[in-house]
Formats: sequence, C-alpha cells, structure tokens
Amino acid sequence: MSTGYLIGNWSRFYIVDENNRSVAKTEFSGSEQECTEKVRNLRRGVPPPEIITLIEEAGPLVETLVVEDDALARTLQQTTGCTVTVPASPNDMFRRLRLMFFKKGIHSRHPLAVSTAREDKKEADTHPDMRILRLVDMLTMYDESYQFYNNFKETWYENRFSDKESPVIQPDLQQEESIVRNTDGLLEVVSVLRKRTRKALALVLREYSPTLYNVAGLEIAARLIAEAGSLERLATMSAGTIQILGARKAFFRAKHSGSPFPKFGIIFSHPYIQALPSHHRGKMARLLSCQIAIAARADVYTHRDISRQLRLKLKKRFYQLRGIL
Amino acid sequence: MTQVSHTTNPRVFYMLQGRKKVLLTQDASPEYSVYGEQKVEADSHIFRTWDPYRSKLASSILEGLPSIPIREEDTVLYLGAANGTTASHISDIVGSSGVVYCVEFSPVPFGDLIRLAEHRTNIFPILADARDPVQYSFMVGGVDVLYCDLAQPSQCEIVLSNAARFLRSGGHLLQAIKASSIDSSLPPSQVYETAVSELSRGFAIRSTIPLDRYQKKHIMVWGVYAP
Repeated sequence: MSTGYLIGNWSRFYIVDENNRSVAKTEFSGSEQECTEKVRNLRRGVPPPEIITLIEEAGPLVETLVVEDDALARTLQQTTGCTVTVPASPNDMFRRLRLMFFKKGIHSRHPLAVSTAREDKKEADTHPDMRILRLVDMLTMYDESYQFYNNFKETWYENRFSDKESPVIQPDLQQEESIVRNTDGLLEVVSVLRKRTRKALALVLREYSPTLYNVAGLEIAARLIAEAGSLERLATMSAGTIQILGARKAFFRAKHSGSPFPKFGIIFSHPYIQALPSHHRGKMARLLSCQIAIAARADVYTHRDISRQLRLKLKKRFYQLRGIL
Repeated sequence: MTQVSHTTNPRVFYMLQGRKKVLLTQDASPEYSVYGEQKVEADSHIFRTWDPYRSKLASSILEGLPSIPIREEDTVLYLGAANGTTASHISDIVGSSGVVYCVEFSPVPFGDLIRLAEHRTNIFPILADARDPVQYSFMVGGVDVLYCDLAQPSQCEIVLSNAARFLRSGGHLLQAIKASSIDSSLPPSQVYETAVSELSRGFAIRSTIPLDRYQKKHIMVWGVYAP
C-alpha cells in the first residue's frame, strides 16, 4: 500500500507510485467531440468514467491518491471513496513525473487540443461579459461615426451656404456634392443600429446584472463592465477605483505630474452628476461609485436585486445637494 | 540571391539589408502568413522575417542576448501568447518535433492563436489564466523553456509558480518585463531590480537586456531554473 499520483496529458492518464512506476493507465475513448467534452469537464473538476475506473483498478495498490486540483480531489473522494489529497504547494514529484510521462505521443493530442481550444473560445464568446464588451465596442463605433459624419455634413453645407444666399454652384464640386447628399441615409442607418445595440445591451444587462443596471443606467453599467473587463472584476474593485474608471489618462497624468486627480470617469454622464453644479459633482460621484460597487457585488455574490434601497440613498443625497431637501 | 546565415543558434537566421540585420526563422507553414511578415527564399528554404518592433524576443536577440536558449525539439511553455506573433517564430525554432504550449487568457486574441494552431501542429493553444496553473496542469507537460510575456503586476510570482510545476531543473526562463505594468510610478530601473531579485529566488539570472530601442521601458530577463 502506498501513495499514488494521478498524472495525465490531455486524454491519457496514469497513476504512478512513489518509485516512478506506472501502476495503471487509461485513455479516453470515444469520438473527438466526446473526448473534448471529457477534457473540458475534467478541468471543471468532473472526472470522466475512465478516470474513475482507473482509480478503481489501482485501488488495491494505492492507499492515498495525490492530485493537483482541489475540485477534482473533492469529487474523486466522493465518487470513489478513496483518500484523495492535494499537495499544499507545487509538488516536485509532479514536476518530475510530467517530464517523464508527458512528451510521449504528445503530437497525436494536437487535434484534441485545438478542438478543446475552439470549444473554450466558443463558451467565452457567449459569456455575458464578452457580449457586453462587444456591444459596447459597437456602441462606441456608432457614436463616433455618427458624430464624424454629422460634423462633416454640417461643415460641408456651412461652407457652401455661408453667404446666406443661394448656394454657390461650383461645377467642379458637383461630384462631391452628390456623394454627400447620397450618403445622408447613412446617418439614419447608424442611429437605427445604435438603438438596436442599446436594446440588445438592455436585454443582456437586465438578465446578468439587474442591480447595476437599475442603479447606474444602461450605458454607464455597460461601459463600467467593459472597462473593468468583467462584472466579477468590477465587483472586486473598490468604490474609489470605480469612481475614476475610464479616466485612465487623467489619473496617470495626476500621478506623474501632480495635477489634480480626476473626480469621475465613466460615471460622469450619470444624470445625478450632470444635473449638479460642478462644486457638488465630486460629492455625488463618491456616493454614486459606492452604490455602484455595492450593486455589482449584489449581482455577483448574492444575486439579489437591491437597487431600490441603493437608488433611494442616491436620490436623497441628490436632493440634498440640489438644496431641495 | 539573398545571403542567409545563422546566428549563435542554428535555428535562428539573419540576412543583411544594407547595414541592417534582419532576423529570420525557417518557415514551418509557407502557405500561411501569420501577421503579414515578409517571406524570403534562400538555399531552397523559405524564411520569415522576424520584426523586433512586434516581438520582444526578436528585439532582445538584436540587442545582444548572449545565446538563444530555445533549441530544436524543445518543449516551450509560453505564458501570455496573445495573437501568437512571437509564438509562431518559436514554433519555427523548435520545429515539428518540438512543442509550444501557448497560454492566453483573453478570448479575443485567442481566436488568432487557434487559427495559427490549425496551421502548425506543434502549437497547443490553451485558454486559461496563467495565475492558476492547476487549470492546465494536465494539458502542459514538463518543459525546457518558459517564455513569459505577461502584463501583470504579479508576473514574477506567476513565473515562479509555473516553473515549480512545469519547468525542468536547468531549464531556461525568458521573461519580458514591462516596467509600467508592474508599477508605473516608480523609476523603471527600480522596478527591474525588485523583479530580478524576486526571480532569483528560483532562477540563476544569466543576463538582463534592456529593449528600449524597440520597446520602451522593457527588459528581457534570461535565467536558468535552479529550484
């Protein structure tokens, strides 16, 4: 009876004893698709049937089994009844075993690796965080192109009609003129697409982070998540960080040159900040970022919509600052 | 006819364009261009130019890395592979019997990495967080070289924990350190000093190469694993 180490490369797994001898080995069976699913499940701590039979096979020879993954250890202990431990720090044994058992036949695992990567990417792409990130990118792009084209059009007509009389007909500019007129529909298309993007964002946010959505509003909530990278990251940020999220340039300028620190980043466009005189905006921004931090944590950890309480607090402070209360 | 000669490493080549040295690696997938790099034909082989402005390994070679510790048939663990620009050249160097495990956390550049892996059978793309090596503990084998290009304040810690799981003793570390991703308020030299002293807990540091000519406020650290 001795200690066994579970070691594997993608689809082939060994149990190795203390003397570096392989006690039992197994290979995932099934189509590439099934193997991919097994590999991805194993990563989540769900062992495929092959691993369980492997442990049962080695059962009489191995007293305690050592694995590297906490979650896997727990599920293995439950399903097989074998004593499973996890080394407290990276184990030298595993490092040596990996060098001995891994490289053989690694190139035949390549298709499995690529299909696992593809499935992982597919899953990551459909994650709400990624969807929000993409939609925010689109929103920014539509905003910019709308502004750009609108500006362009205005200055074009301004130059042509500047003398308030009939437009100067310049025959050599006729082609440009017709292009500008013909691309007018572009503005409409962009604004329609923008509206649809906002709708799509609202759908995702209402489902994924209702509290944040209700406290911060659609665009601020989405942009905060995009800037932080994910809702979970946003939930681990302090309110002070959230307050200046999106003001990276100003923040680092302040850090390096000693100019005043920014009071707000993305949250600047919130109506409660916009509606206040500038000497009150910092105060509102502090409270707002605190409420946003709490809202993000509620969405990630408790999954309870507590936006009513948070909004009440904001409203009270807003009226106080406006001098109404 | 272009004159191509090899550097201190038999798998890394260069040619002269006037007085400028252009690095090359032998192309493993001639039909596919990874990032719009130029291809050069010489001695009946096809080579790909290696842009020092896009790859920190290329710039460190041009800035005088004493030797390039990646050899043919080596196994390399690449943390922070991003789009796979440098990874594709490392894949050229290790050749078809070598392996490059590319760990990348962000799904957007990871798409490029998958496309690269479809053309090169020695690239293994892994979508995972390098801070948590257990996630890919049964996907990565024992490696000869650990290449790290992460923009993380805790990158030295990440390197040490990955080395403890995957790197063989006597294996090499190449780590690109961007000063401002560790601490942007300290002077770069101070950041490098603390980073190198942290790394020397597990590595014998062979050399540090400043890369300022190509990448501002970066250095490349070369160390040998001595646990």
